[in-house]
Amino acid sequence: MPANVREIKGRMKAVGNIERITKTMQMIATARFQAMQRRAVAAQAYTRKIAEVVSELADSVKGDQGAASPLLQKPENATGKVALLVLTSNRGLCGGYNANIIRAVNGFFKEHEDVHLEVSGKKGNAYFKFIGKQVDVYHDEFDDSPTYEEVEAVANTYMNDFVAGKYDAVYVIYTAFISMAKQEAQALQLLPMQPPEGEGSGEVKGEAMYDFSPEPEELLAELLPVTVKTRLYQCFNESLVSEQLSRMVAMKAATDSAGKMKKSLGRQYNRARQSAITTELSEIIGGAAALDQ
Amino acid sequence: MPSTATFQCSLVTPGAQVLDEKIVYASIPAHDGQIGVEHLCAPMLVKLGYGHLRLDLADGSSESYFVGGGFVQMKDDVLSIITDEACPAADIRANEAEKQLEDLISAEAKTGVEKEQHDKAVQRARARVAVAKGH
Repeated sequence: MPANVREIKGRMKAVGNIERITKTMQMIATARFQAMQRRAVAAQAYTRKIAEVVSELADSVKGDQGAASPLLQKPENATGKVALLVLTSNRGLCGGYNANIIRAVNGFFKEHEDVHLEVSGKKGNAYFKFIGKQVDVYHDEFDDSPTYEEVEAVANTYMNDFVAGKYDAVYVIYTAFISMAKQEAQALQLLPMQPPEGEGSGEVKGEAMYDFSPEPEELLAELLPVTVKTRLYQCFNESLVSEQLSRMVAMKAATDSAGKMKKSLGRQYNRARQSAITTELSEIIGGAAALDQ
Repeated sequence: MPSTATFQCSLVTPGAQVLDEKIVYASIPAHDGQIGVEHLCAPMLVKLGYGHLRLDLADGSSESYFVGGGFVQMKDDVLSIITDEACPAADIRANEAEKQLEDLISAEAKTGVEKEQHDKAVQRARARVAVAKGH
């Protein structure tokens, strides 16, 4: 077998192996994506209910009483420092997922000078190490499926630090899952919270004359931290769904490319093999003709 | 005579929607004591405490849970129980719950914040033991 044909055959084998691997990874990503989506949908019921209750309470809490919560206001002695949590993935091979997040982070750094940087995900941590940017806190406790309790602990730290006046604001940069076709790296202001809006024009509606226990102001004060926690939990969930979807798409593209490459290599191989056969035949015919003479 | 009219009830936790069914009665551990909810109950928004949640379903059966804080909303004859934790009472083992309570009582909290959290944890563990024994 001529060297060229052998080389092409070797490449065909390698590409075939790559195709098998990427196809397996695509199937794993699909299964994980479905599991993450189920989880995110299950968590949405809680988030939706909390938002509904906060909205009902916002209607009932009149005047500045509702806005008196420290989670809704910037600290009095502004330090100019903000906290930023960046949610990246622990694994690669997920297309532009991490690159989009990093682009959003770089945009954020242009707008804010004094940033307390916290990172979740090995890829983000490796990037900041590579560019020489100090990561103040690296959250390595989050695996592929962070629990509400784990996220709650982080949210509690942010709320305590924010109320203590350590930061003027807390942001999260994550990948929002908008639809199957669209995921977007976004910066979400976690704290201070946007004041909750009522469902209507602020008037207490007839059907919603609630019996409150304790008083609505107290209930709202209890609910606001829960809202912060659920928002952060939702960020984690959406990031995970988006990551698996990106990986699924990237692996499908890789599998398709490998398939195309294999086809093209097959043609090259057949051509090279045919040309080797033709050369061999002409040599035999030439040799036989020389013997006849 | 107790009412047999049904109303919708949903029980949600951060991880899942535990229940979404028609019920006839709910006994809920509010922050200031147990409350009962029936069909056409007045709208209310109540903070949940730790304790035993009993839901009497439309088919005559009952479901019992340990709930660990949250909120209850009754509106338009729909009861929403939003809680951090909803564990079926049958899944709680009394001896394990008691051991957990003993461990918590023997543990010391130093700072004010820690003490507050510790007190809450003890309160929660006590309620868990009570639910486990009462079931």
